[in-house]
Amino acid sequence: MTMATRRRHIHHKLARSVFWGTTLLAAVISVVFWVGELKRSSDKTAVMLNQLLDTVESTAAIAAYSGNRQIGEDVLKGLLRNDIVHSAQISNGQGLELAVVRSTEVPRQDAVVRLLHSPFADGEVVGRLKVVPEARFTLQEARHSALVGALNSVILIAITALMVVGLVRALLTQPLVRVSARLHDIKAGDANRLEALARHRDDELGQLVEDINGLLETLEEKFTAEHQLRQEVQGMERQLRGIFETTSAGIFQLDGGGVLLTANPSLGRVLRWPAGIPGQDLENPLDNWLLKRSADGFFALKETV
Amino acid sequence: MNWKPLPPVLLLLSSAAAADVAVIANVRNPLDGLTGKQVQDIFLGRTRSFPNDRFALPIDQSSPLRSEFYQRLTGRSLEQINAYWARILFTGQASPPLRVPDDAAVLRTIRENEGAIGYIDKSQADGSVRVLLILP
Repeated sequence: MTMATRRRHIHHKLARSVFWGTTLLAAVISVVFWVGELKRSSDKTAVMLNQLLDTVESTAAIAAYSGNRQIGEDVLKGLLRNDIVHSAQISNGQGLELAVVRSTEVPRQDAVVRLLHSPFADGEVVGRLKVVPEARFTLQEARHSALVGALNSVILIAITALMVVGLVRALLTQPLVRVSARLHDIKAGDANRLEALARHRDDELGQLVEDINGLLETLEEKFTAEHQLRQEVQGMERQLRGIFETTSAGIFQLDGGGVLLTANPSLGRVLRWPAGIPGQDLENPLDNWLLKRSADGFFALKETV
Repeated sequence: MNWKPLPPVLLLLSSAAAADVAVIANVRNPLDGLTGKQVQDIFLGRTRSFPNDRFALPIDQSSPLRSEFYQRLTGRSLEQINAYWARILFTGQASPPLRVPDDAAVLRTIRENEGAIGYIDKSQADGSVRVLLILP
């Protein structure tokens, strides 16, 4: 007794493969996205910081030049209102030392330092403005971008995978199932053939159906030829059997050891065997004969002949 | 070619624009002279004292010479100087130099205040004040 195996569909296998493949791909893409976005976001933050410093540079220079604390504090407070700034510091080397810092625990990042030049004398450095970027902002940016990128990838891949699975099911699995069911109904040598699949006459499935029909055609021809051959053989056998059994000549067959294998009834009559010996039993002469003959009888018969 | 005489007003402006500006201080001020940067720091509020640590009182004036003075001293226009002072004035921590009407008022103020420093047309400078710098 054989257990029925659970049949699995191609599109289900494909769906599983696509699922794991896309999951792995999405994970790899997410990591690559995150690393790339972290770098890009860090560069972007540096650019934004420099733009921010461009905006406040002239005012900060006035604060540094004049040693004006109020202007300096205003500049630093304004800088700290931006999410990308973690801390800011302004100094002029002549007693003005101002700093503001955000109360977040973040890993240290490279500070952006801008030298402040005198508003009135070209080239004279009157102070320094130092800004540390907010790492949390960079991380958030990178994480957000990576998440969005990964989600986009997953959605696109999932939609594509579903479309592929659906198309494979519609264009391959279902036609194959129909072909298989129809093939099961056809017996060997039968004259029935597979019907051509609509919409698949010109593709590989249409070719497969044609090939199967060709195979069925060949099979039917072989069966027919074999049937005819068998009938001819049977006719010849009957004819030869008739000759063997009705000829007046005694015919017999010995094996290599001299054992009599078979003999026709005429041999019995020629040798005057008693009634009931094999050869007269026309229904199964060979079996009866072989069962009843002994080796001694054979050699006696041989000498007699 | 016929040359036409220039209008008198234009001649006057041209003359004023070409005049040298003298930075002057009280005659009792012991300094022999100042650099342009030192004068700049005093007039723009960066420092409130002379290099010898004596209190410095800058005296500005409202005449057209003011524009010439700052242009030669800092290379900046009067609008830029005013904008600079506007920002500082807003904080309430400093104020621009005391401003008087003209060279005569500057001379009078300088003579009366030992720590005063101002600027006038070079041609107006006399022995009652000490010339610390000439801005050509």
